[in-house]
Amino acid sequence: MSLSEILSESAEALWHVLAVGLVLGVGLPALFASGIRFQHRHRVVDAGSRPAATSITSSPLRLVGAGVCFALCVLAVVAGIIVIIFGEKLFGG
Amino acid sequence: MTEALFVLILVIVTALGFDFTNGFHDTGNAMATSISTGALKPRKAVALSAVLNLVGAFLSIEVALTVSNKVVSIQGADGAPAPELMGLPILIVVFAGLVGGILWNLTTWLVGLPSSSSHALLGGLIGAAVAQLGIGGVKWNGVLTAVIIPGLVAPVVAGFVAALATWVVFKIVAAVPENSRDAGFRWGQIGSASLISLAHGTNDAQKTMGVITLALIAYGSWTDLHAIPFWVKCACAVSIAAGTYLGGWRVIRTLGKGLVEISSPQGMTADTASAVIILSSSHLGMALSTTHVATGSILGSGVGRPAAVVRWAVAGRMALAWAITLPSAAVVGALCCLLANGIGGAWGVAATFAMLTLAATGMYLRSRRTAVTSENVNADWDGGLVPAVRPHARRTSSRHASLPRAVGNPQAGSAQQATQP
Repeated sequence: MSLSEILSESAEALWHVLAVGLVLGVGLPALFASGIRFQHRHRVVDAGSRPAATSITSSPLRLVGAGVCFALCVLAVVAGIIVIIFGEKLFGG
Repeated sequence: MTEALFVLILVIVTALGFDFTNGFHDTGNAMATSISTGALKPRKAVALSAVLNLVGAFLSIEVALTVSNKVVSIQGADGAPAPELMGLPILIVVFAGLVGGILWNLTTWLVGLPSSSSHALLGGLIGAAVAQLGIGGVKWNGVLTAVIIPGLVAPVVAGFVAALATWVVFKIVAAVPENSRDAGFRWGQIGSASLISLAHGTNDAQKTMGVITLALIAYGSWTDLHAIPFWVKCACAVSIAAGTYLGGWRVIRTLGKGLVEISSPQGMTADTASAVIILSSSHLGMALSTTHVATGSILGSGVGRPAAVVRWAVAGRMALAWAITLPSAAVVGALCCLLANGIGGAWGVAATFAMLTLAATGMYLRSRRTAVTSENVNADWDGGLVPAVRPHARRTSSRHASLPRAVGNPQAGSAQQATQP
């Protein structure tokens, strides 16, 4: 294998690693962070009353959103375990 | 006992020793961030990682006979030993390569620098192959594609992904107060750190299993190229798990405290980026070193957070260590091979083994003089690996770590008092 072949093959592999890394490596933390944001109970300030009344709410919709985000993250971990065990069979090494 | 059997036994013991150093050298890759953010107590973290490494090692279903085949010409394409090297010659090359790998692992551990165990092993094998077979014994293309290019690519890709992820995550949770935010991220951290540990057990124990199986084939007591003796699998699994449980506290401290001051969100992004890249890269045509990826990710998680402290001097020392990993291990591998062959046969291997034992004991004793343990692994980083004062923090939480240590800071004071006996 010549040097230019090695470099072009490596560049292609690098591109794939980077693409998957960006999609999952940034996507999953973002998903998890969104879950934490949804889950966090919102402080609603009622500016109309004097003194301003605050109440802590977490709407059911937000909680569902958080649940979906965390569930997807758990699925990703399960997928990771599958890749660890069967990766070579699935992708041919 | 025949000469070859005696050498085989020493090769197996040395391989398990390498597996053990591989375990404790790499505990930090998975657990450094969880330990430094307080997501897990140090002892619990290494115990979890050890169990997952053990499980991971048993999960491996591949036969990694071809690991050495990428860089040295001692085997045929199917992984079987080259016929002319059967018996002692190949056992000596493998033995010398393992010694090179172990000594490099111990040296970098002593100075607290993470470095790739697989690069160290490959380096040792390359040196031994040059000494045994001449310069033609090395596959230089393989060195380029399996060692040099991945070594350059891994930290950059991982660093970039982790930096971007950290930046995005901090944007998303900007409105969430720090303490409720961090509690959530610690769970995420433990999840991705566990995946890294599991993958490490599978990948790295597999390499030692491959090496021992290769030695058994060379000796003539095993012939199946597609299976590994069960006792080899057990021995390697236990060895890497025991190493992991010992905890390479020096390396953990550098990764968790020295490189970047890590908060829980950063720990989660760094670990997730590492897990994703480690799990995907080998299936995408470029197997990257766990150590290089994990270190790059931790560094990236510091770069991606505007206010974070990143110690570039520490990163520079690591980069230097990586650059000289291959040549250093190769020199030791070559010297060991020359020594073993110079004295000749079983006596040569025994003498080299004695030298390895002496050197390892010496480095262990040296490490005791300035010990880094589970007690002081999280002490504030004041410029050096070994904490200058008695440790105060068994679990410095990210909240404490990320606060400026201003005079009269009540948090810092309470953290100190809280752990007084």
